[in-house]
Amino acid sequence: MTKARIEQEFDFQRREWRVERIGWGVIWLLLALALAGLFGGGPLSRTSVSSGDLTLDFPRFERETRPTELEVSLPLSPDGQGQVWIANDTLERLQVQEITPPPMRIQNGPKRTEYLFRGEGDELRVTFDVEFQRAGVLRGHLGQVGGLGLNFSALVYP
Amino acid sequence: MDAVLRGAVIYLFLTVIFRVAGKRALSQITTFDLVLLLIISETTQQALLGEDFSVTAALLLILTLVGLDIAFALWKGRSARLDRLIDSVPVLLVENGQPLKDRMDRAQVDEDDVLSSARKSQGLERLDQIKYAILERDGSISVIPQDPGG
Repeated sequence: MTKARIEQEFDFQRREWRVERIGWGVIWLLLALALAGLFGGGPLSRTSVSSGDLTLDFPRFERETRPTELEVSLPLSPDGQGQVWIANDTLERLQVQEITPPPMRIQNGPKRTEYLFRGEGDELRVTFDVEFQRAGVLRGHLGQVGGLGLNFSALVYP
Repeated sequence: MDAVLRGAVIYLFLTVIFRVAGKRALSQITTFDLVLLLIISETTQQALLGEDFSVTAALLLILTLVGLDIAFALWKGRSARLDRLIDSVPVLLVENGQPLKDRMDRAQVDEDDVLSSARKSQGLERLDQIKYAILERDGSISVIPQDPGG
């Protein structure tokens, strides 16, 4: 290769360097967003919705198969019982690993699964340890048996 | 967030541990060094991923490691101090055929190592044919032969 030819090719290298620099910026931007929780597991990733006295704290950005939690709080009835239902099509997309406190009874219906809890005081806090099973947008429904329900949606990364 | 933090912690830890181990340790001179490196990488993998086997986590980890590497490379370019701190400095081991014993002991290099490098890179047989032998920052030994005339 002659020097003139090499110098011609140098233009390509110059462009390559420019693209490299932009790439570095993109990497650091993505890392900053990841630290903020845009890809799950950070301050940005959790949020809560409520309907009446029923509140759900859940991850709106999450990664497939990564252990995470749904935290439900609801008022207890005077006899110390609380009942939560989760729609079955929601349960198809998230695998429940553990429930704290453990439910007294689980009842499977055609459309939803009901969990009966017993507690003390006037509020019940339940943590569902779950793993999202499929990537994509999850539209979930859960609620209080005989009370209000709520919708939540989460973006699940593959 | 956790994937990025895990990646950063492992990166920094490995930087420190390999720096402390010294230039010559694990520079793949023996089969055992290679095996040890493989075991370390296997162990690291567990710590990096935790329970998170998603594609996103893997991508984030790669971004973290590469991003930190680029950042450190740029920073090293600006700061000679950091450059020394991370990559160390070259060390002269042999001068005009005379081994600098004290340095060689400290650097865990013996005459055989120098001669081995001299044979491989320059085809030299004896120490007195070497003008300079230098322990490079990456742990390799480079050899400059005596001038044929002088």
